[in-house]
Amino acid sequence: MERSQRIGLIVSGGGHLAAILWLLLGGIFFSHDLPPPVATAEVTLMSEAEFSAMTAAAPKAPVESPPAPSVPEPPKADPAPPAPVEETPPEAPAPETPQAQPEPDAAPEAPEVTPPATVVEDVPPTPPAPPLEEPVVTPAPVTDAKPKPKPADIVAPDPVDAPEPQPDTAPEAVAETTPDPAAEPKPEEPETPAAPQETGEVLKTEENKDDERVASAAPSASPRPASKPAKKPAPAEPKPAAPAATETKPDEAPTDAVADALAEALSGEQSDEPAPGTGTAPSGPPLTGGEKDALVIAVKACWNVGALSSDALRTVVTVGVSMDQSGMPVQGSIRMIGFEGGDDAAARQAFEAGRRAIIRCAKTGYPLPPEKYAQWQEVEIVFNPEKMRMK
Amino acid sequence: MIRFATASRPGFTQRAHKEGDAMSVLRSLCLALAVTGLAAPAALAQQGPLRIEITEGVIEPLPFAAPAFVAETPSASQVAAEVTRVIAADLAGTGLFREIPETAFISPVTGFDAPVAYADWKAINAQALITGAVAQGSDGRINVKFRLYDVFSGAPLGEGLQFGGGEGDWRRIAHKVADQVYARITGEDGYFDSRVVYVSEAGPKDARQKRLAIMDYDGANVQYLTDSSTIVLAPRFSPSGDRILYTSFETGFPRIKLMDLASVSSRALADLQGNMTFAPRFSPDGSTVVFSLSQDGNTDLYSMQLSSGQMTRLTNAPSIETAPSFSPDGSKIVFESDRSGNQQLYVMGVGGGEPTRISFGEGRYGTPVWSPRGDMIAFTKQNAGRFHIGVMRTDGSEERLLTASFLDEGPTWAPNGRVIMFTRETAGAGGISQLFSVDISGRNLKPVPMEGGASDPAWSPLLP
Repeated sequence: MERSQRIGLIVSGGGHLAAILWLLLGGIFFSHDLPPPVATAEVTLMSEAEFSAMTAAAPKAPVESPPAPSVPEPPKADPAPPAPVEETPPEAPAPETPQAQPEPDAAPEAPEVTPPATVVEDVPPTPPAPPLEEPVVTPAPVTDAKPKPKPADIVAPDPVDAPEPQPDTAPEAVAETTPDPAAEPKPEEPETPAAPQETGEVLKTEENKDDERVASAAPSASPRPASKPAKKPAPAEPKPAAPAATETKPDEAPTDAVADALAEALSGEQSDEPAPGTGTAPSGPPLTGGEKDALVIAVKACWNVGALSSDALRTVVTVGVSMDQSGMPVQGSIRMIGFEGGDDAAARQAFEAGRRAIIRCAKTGYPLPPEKYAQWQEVEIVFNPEKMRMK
Repeated sequence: MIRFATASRPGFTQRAHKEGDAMSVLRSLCLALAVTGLAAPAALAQQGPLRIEITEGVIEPLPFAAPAFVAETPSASQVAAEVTRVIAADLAGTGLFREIPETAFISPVTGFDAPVAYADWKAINAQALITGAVAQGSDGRINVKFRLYDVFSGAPLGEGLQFGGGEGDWRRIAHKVADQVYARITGEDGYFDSRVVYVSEAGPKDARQKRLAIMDYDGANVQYLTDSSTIVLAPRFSPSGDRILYTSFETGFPRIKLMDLASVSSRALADLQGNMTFAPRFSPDGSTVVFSLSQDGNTDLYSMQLSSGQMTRLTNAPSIETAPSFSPDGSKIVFESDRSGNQQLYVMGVGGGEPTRISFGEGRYGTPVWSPRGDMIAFTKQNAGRFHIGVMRTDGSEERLLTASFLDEGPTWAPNGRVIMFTRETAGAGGISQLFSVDISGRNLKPVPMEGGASDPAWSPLLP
């Protein structure tokens, strides 16, 4: 065989092989590109006599009816089941919750947190007797030294005499240390109602001190909890649809279901989840945004950073606290979980300010829904003073 | 006639359906994965503790109660009351604390070791409680002990401490207690046990008598260091607080003098006949003094080793360079210069070299002073006929003006870098100079309580 022929053979063989592979495997990759199922027709020739005999024998209806009931229905039956299945889930989890109830046995863990116990722990410090009994008062750093600079008596008890030494030189010196300003201001009126100086972007003087008062604790706006989107009652039964529709439905049905599931997941409504690890506590759905906001507002009203050092104002501290069912923080449970942005000393100051806020504003308990106790039994509060820093 | 009978091919259609089903299942799987991937974190987020973030709070003075310290000896009752008063005044004077008046107290503190009735203090919203006792020995020495409580936490804040000293030291002891309280609550050092040296002024503007004086930071215990026969200016503490540099016109020319506080004796820093020296400042280690020297009509910065008297020229420009101040680490010097046409602030290395301009706002900048913390520079600014005390970062950024008046100048930092004291002069022929202090936040601007006029304050470091 000549080379050219061989090349032709190889090319031809390769082409055929590719065509075969494409036929065999192409569908996997490109099946979605396939046109809708092609309706093929078999055509046969018949004589006029046969045709007239046939038409005379059979009415039209039977001819059209077969496709309608037959083919479309079965495929629809397949997709249909999933739909109902997805609607039932709300009921399905329900049976799960009963299963969650056994968990409560594990819930004894919750009692482990035993707020009351810690409360008891906290009580001891209340009678500060212990610290008192201890020789807490350390016989320590004492200033037995007398005030250092003891400039004898008054050096110049005699003064009051003529103070007119060198009046000429004085102005020069003044001009050096306090340049010309002294001279310039004279002509000017002390009260120049002109606008405040334009240079400093923020003039925090006594005059405008009040303007920069920190925003009050009152919420500027209280976002209402979003209302729960009503679930659409899913179509109860897939009705036998028109034949035309049956062909497209199989594709759409699953996507709708998935879309529903996606929407549900993103809406954050997982109210059917069992309460995390608590037995006796009523679980209930997660807190709404409004309920969380109420807690934020309540705590921030007592978070006073006025006496914090600038280092502490650069420290973000996370404080953990256990709550009892009345919404009162368990004092002994208040702990620092972590901090960032400052050193240990600054973190301690920031934590103490946060702890004071938590305790002070819980006078009669935080406004938290009792039916969702399991959701807020443990709370982590991040105190971020970034907006409170001096700018 | 030709007619067509049509019939779908079940086999083909079924395959197409199967493929369609497979694809849709595949797609469903992908979407399901995506859904679970998205939903999982949300679900997990609900599993742990409820987490909230507080980004806004309130800035208010922290209410505290300081019931009168218990007098443990009969002779100590007067001192106990005075000590308590000074402690409360120190804390309330910062603007960071608010004293709850004694009339609001529910239960008295009967003894230093008596249990604390937290509920009673909570009821009046006292967040901090200071209790203490004072004893006085037969030799007159006094002993002051105190404890600080976090009322809402129901626990002491730190350990109790006691201080002892002579009979006349009760104010210092009170300041030391206040420093401790301040430090434990704010997390930064206090500044109450410190002093201020300044120029005391008396008489009308055109015949003003000036003399050096020293006082407690709160205006108490004023003592004069010089008489009024010579004009004196710009005193500056040494880092150890035992010496003072100042400018005297004793010879008719401004000349730097060094005073030893223990002996109240002064000597000229250098014998530079015919030259004017002024605006001195100690280096952080106290071994060097940097100052301005005016020679042949030109003013530049020089440094001098105190031990050897060796001088080094730091700047060499036809402009006026003055008011130098060291950074706390001693590596840089900030000063004012009019080399750009008007007064601006510049920073250069401690050995001199090309300075970097850091002030670029409108107006003139002068008398820069580096904060003891090292993060800010306080300055005087003149703009549009008004004077301001301001602060900026050491690179000139974040400039903030804290005051505005007819004439504010000459800032000095408290030892903890939280408060600035300065001179404020009122307008008119009868105008007087007073010392004012302001928090670096711009709040708590107030005059220093003292009699007579005063200017050029310089804050000492914390006393030992």
